[in-house]
Amino acid sequence: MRFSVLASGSSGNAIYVENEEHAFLIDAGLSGRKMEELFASVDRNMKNLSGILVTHEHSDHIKGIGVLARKYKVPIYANAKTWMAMDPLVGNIPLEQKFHFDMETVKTFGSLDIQSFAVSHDAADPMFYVFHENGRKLVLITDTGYVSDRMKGHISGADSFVFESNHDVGMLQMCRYPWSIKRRILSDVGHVSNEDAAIAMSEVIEEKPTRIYLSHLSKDNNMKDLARMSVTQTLGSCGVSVGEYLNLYDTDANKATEIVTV
Amino acid sequence: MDWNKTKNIFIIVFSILNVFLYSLYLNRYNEAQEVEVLGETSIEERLEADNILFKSAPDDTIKESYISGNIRMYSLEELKLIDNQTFEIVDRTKLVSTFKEPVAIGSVEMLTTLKEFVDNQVFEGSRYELYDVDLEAKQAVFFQTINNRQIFFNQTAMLTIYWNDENKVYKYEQTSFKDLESFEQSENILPDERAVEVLYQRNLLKPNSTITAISLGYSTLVQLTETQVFAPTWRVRVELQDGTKEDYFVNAVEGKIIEFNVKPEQIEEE
Repeated sequence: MRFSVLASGSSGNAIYVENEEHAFLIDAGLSGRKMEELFASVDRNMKNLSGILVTHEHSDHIKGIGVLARKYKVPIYANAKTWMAMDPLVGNIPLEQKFHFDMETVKTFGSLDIQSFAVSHDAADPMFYVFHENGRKLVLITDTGYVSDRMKGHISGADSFVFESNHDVGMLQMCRYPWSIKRRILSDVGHVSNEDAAIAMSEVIEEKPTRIYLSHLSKDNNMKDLARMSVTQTLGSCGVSVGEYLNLYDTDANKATEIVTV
Repeated sequence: MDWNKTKNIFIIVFSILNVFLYSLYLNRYNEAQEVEVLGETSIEERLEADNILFKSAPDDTIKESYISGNIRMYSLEELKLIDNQTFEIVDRTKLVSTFKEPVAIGSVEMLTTLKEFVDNQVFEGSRYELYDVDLEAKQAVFFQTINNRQIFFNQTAMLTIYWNDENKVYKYEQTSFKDLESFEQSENILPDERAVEVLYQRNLLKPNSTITAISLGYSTLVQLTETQVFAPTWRVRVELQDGTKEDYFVNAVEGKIIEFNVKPEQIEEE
């Protein structure tokens, strides 16, 4: 199983996961053209996609869904409430391309098991995914206000994580956003901060080689270096030393990460 | 009743009314245009109107990075080769040095003398630049520098030297950051005129004052457990009509005013 974080941030999100038989895109939050560029940058072609899995209906996750569905005839998977919420936003998608992926279920595609789990975010019915293959586990978890024990149960022990590290609380509190926005981001249905993410990570990682991709960084209230530094120090205070068996990686709003094997 | 005549009277009356209303509209429109013209007055013109003198700084930095640094922990081991000083380390992060024989610094008004003293006598003294001299309290405050720019009012990046009545330095206290590193990402720096404009809009610049200096430095943006992140910051020094000097600080990336818990008054000339 291999993956690349094609784009991550409030301007658009997309993650690519593949194995020998299948290739999936998780969210397509950028324009169709930009998505094609990102695919080309990792030497992959959208024609080979087995499906697009949608996490929730926010525009930074579905902006390119309609265009890609129509152009590449690719099946789209989402849960019922997300379909209802995004239907008016993505234009006409033929019925035969619309598939349901219910919350907290597992779909099997050859040797690849994809499990959905609920997150806490202000969308209709947001969920993220865990990929399993041959005993290896890849977790995608962004857009959640906190990481509950239930979520931790789903994601613990993964070999690779794409983990939200959205903001620095101090920067957010000092920034120019209206108070209502700040309250939303800091709430249980907003986004997790660098420190909260690190605390959750410390509780779900195991002592084995693990990669964590810090993702969905706020453009205004975080920086790659800061997120890495903050997560490293918080993990350190939780007794987890970065660099030993755990490594942190950056993601970018416009540039795909290298395709790596889980 | 002559309906034809009545109709003509109505037409004439309403025509006059229309002309009157149109003239009112034109007047209002012109007034609004004039207001907009005033609103578009440049910052230079507005400062001039309030008799606030300002010359743009020669610093033409366009992009700058955020910088991170770790709090320096001192150890007596690294200080053992320094003569004529006894050291005390407080909480591992503050170094207090007492001179066995106080060192003469000549005239404290000679600011180069102070800097020379710090460079030669203070542990890693060249990392600091003078910020403020308090002649009454007989002390001078220096700020640690990064890339020749000061870190403003950071308790972990300061040096204070103390002298006696004979102008001899008998003690200094210092704190500092180590491992200073620039972030990969660099940010556009607001021009110094924009910093002045921000202060003016907040009514912090008083009429008949002079902006005597604007310089770029750093201030703390984020505090982590062991590390701080510094943001590029404009320092704007203003001299009021009565000679009082005030310093203001503006985040040079976001344009926010930064308030430190210090009194801006009593700043001596650098």
